[in-house]
Amino acid sequence: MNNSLINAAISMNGLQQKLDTIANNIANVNTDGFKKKEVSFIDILTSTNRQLQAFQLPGRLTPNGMNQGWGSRISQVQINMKQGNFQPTNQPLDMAIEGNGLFELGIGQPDANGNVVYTRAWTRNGAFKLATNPGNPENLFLVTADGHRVMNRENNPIQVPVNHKLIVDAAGNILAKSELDPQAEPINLGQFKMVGVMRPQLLENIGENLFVLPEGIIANNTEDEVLVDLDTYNASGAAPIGVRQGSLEQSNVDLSVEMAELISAQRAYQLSSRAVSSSDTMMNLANNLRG
Amino acid sequence: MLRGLYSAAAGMITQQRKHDTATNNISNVNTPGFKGSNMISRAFPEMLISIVNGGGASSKFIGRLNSGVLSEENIPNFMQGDLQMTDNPTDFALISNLQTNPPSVFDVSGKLVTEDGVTVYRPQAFFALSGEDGEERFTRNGKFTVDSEGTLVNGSGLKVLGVDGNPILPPLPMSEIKITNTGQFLNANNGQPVLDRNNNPIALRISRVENPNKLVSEGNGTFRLEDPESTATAINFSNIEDLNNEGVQVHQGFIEQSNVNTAQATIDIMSALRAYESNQKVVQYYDRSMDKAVNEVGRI
Repeated sequence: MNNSLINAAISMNGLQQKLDTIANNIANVNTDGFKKKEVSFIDILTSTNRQLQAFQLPGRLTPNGMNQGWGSRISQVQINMKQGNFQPTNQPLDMAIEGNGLFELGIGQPDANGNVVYTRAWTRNGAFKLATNPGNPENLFLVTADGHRVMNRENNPIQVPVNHKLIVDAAGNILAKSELDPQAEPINLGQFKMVGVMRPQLLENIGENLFVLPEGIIANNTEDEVLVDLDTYNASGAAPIGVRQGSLEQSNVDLSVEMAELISAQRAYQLSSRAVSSSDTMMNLANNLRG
Repeated sequence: MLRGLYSAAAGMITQQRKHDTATNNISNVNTPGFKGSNMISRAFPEMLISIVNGGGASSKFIGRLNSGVLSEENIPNFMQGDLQMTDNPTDFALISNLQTNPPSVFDVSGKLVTEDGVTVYRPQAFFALSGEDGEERFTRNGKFTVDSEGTLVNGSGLKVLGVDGNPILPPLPMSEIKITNTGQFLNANNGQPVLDRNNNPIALRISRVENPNKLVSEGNGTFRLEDPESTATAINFSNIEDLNNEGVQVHQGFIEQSNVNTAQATIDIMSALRAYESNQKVVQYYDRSMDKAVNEVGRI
């Protein structure tokens, strides 16, 4: 009976979620390395009211049956991995990734026995800093703003000797140059561990600008298909992944695009609520048939 | 006998259906590739009425009478939607400007009645998907993604078909692939065609449907071809001489917006509501007439 009401209510539900996503994008317009999300809609399964063969009169355009749509729903929320702009900061510990890659981090969490266990996570936010190493005061850990350790190609946390300056080349190779003794040979600290993103839609965003692989991917052992190591990625013919020292990658949210999306989503919401009040009036009329 | 009571009730039901259709159009103003539809109603079959009593042997005909209205069909409008840039490498929009042979000038609804009285419909181009039953499905919603198996799929997980009729497995991340206006996959860095596992170049399959009115909407942006007489053929872009295929373009990083006209949809809703109200009033007038017949005519 009140198909219109159901139809409009479901669609408003989806639009509300789109508004939430846009609000989150706008909130992160200044977050370094942030990748925006995009909501898209699809129409809901159509039902067909069957009709007799006698309905197939000359001049009828469509096959038999009266189709009825049931509104729209969210079909997918996609991460847009588009490159953000580089902002030079001249800070030697700021790194920006050029190309479709991610830095690998180790996130420490205490297990049941109180021992810290490191799990892998990935980020585009290269605003790194140095943190003290309680076990070895002569070497500092390279960490993210939240204190997660940055890994090198040998899967060890990158450790920087005290009073050394980092020099990073385009391929992500790190050299530490002594600040006290200009004549000393630079120390090779290895290469940033970076991965190429093959299927960005399968990454799971856990907040704090971090991506992890979902449980199912790890369980099926198919993580190679989502994230591949640098050499495999560069050999596949894709544009090579590089690092820019002294720059940060800005958020790829475009405020004017988000505002336009916000307006169109809000107007669609308004229009749907108009349909709700209209079908409410119809139900009122039906209820008052017997005046 | 008051025949009009049931006619007015049928009118209310039909206006309700019109309201549903307009609401569905409004609900899908943000759905890429959505084609708005129009509900067409039809009068109940005419009947001849004649005087039953007092007409004598030759009963006298009064005339024809329709006794109601019903919602007959829901016709999608395949007008081209506007293109919106998204910069997303898995988004595709189709511009379909197909022509018949010989070329015809179509009206807005994509129809032409020739001088001989033959109706010609404008063919439309669609992306081809593989339905769950293995049959081909058609869509204009080019908001695709890559699933966990690496195949290009649409928003509800149906596989997008390549030009050879098989699902597409891009060997590179989609951001490294540039798709030409004819649907060919090229490596964005060196411009070379992207090859599949059998070393054949990958391309999207674009299907041409001769009479799109015969498509049945299934929801999720997909259509099914049900009528055995109408045909769908894959457009072969390599045959340049085939002038009929001119006017189809694939655009990567764009989506085709819904073709619903919001002003029209709002007016449809308002007119359906008011027409529903008119029918409701007519029902009430009949009720009052019956009230008179029952309570006043028989009073002594």
